Amino acid sequence: MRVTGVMVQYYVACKRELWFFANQINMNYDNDDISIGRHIHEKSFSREKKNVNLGDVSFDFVKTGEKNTIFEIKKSSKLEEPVRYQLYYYLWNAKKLGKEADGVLVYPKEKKREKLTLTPEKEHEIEHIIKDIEKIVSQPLPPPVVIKPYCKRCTYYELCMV
Amino acid sequence: MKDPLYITSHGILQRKGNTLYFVNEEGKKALPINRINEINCYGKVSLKSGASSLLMKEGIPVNFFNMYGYYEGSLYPRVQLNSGLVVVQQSQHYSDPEKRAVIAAEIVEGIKNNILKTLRYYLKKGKDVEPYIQDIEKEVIKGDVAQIMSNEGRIWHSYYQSFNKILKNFEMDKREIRPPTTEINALISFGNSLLYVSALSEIYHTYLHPSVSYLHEPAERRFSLALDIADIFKPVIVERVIFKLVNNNMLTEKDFNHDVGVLLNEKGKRIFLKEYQAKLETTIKHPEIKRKVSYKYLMRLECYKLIKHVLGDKEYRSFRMWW
Ligand code: SF4
Repeated sequence: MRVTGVMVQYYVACKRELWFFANQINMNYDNDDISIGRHIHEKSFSREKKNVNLGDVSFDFVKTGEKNTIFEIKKSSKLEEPVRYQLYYYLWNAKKLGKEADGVLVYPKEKKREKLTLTPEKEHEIEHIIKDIEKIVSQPLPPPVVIKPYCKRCTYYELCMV
Repeated sequence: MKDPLYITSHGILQRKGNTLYFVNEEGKKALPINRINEINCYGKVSLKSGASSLLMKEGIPVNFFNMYGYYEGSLYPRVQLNSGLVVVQQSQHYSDPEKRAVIAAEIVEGIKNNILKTLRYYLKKGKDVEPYIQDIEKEVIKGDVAQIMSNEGRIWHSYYQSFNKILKNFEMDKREIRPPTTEINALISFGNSLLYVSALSEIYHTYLHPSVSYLHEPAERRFSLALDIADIFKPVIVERVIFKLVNNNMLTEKDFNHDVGVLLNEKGKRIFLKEYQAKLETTIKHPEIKRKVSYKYLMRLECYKLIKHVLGDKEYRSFRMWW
């Protein structure tokens, strides 16, 4: 199985969401969030290089200076923790490919930036997360509903609540 | 918000550029394609190829009904949601008779409950429906699918008999179709086919396969899962519309044609459609979702519950009116 950045994000946000997503049960059928995200992305960084592919994952943007920087551009900072882990996962991937990098989370709408560095602890955590993702996704049943504030904005909300 | 479009007259759908037109004797009318989620044709409607490719590209199904208002078929966009996992599990719950009976019984429990709710409402309004309520309450739904189906048959029978106590006008003799011979039968048939298509369009927005059903046999010509889902909602949607239209004299003798059987005429259909659409869009606060949902959306939620059931995530409990 191929673990993606979105899966890491879902892992941190909700393991049930991860299961649905990885088992190809998606709900964003009439959801326009995705195109909004793309739009912000293009407007904010139109002159720089976008979507660099490194091995299995693609990053939003990489700038090479003394040390590489991976930028992750987000619509809003509502999902900070899951998004951080997604970026840590990219950094971990980059390191594995011999391209060590720092990360920067960018929230153009809120004019906010956050810098992330991959520490040995984080590396360790990411490795554990990957293993756990593989385990959860291969289970025959979705993990049970755990109600949290995030549910209200989740595309699976109605499926979970009924 | 997108709505279904109903065409009750004869004509042609054609495309010019990215605009869709309906053309008939009366002229040419542009249709707001961004605000339509399905087209239901009750007149003789033909589609030019440009129109059909535009509709398929936009993901808008076109449903066709014959002069009696019966569903004939659909032009369907390619399925957009597909999950092998769900369809495999959905089929397994059909092919295992025990698993199938569990779902079928739940569906009939839903029908029973919603019918009783409706009858009790009219009892409170002074209608003499007590004997029918008692008959229906007596039905114990259990056994194999065949037994469950006969439970269901008896429930509908008592329910339809009670119409004579509820309706101020028109007589309910026995339920007859193809073609209906009484006004009430014409109304039930028309309403049921509308609801069938609404259920189908909700199924279409989920991962369930519309042909794999539990109470109805998977039929060749119809998407039988839509029949399963629609049945649960008939007392909540179709009959409530009929009772209102008849008892408030919104539909009278002159809204029907009486030639080969009895059918709603064009004006009658329009009156019915307006009331039906209003019913579908009526909203109610959902106790679990804690948001307002429309009656139509309740059918989508029914699909979600079935998905969870076949996945083994949560046992299916059919919709029962809670208000
Ligand atoms: S609604 Fe809540 S429990 Fe369900 S998938 Fe979304 S976040 Fe997870």
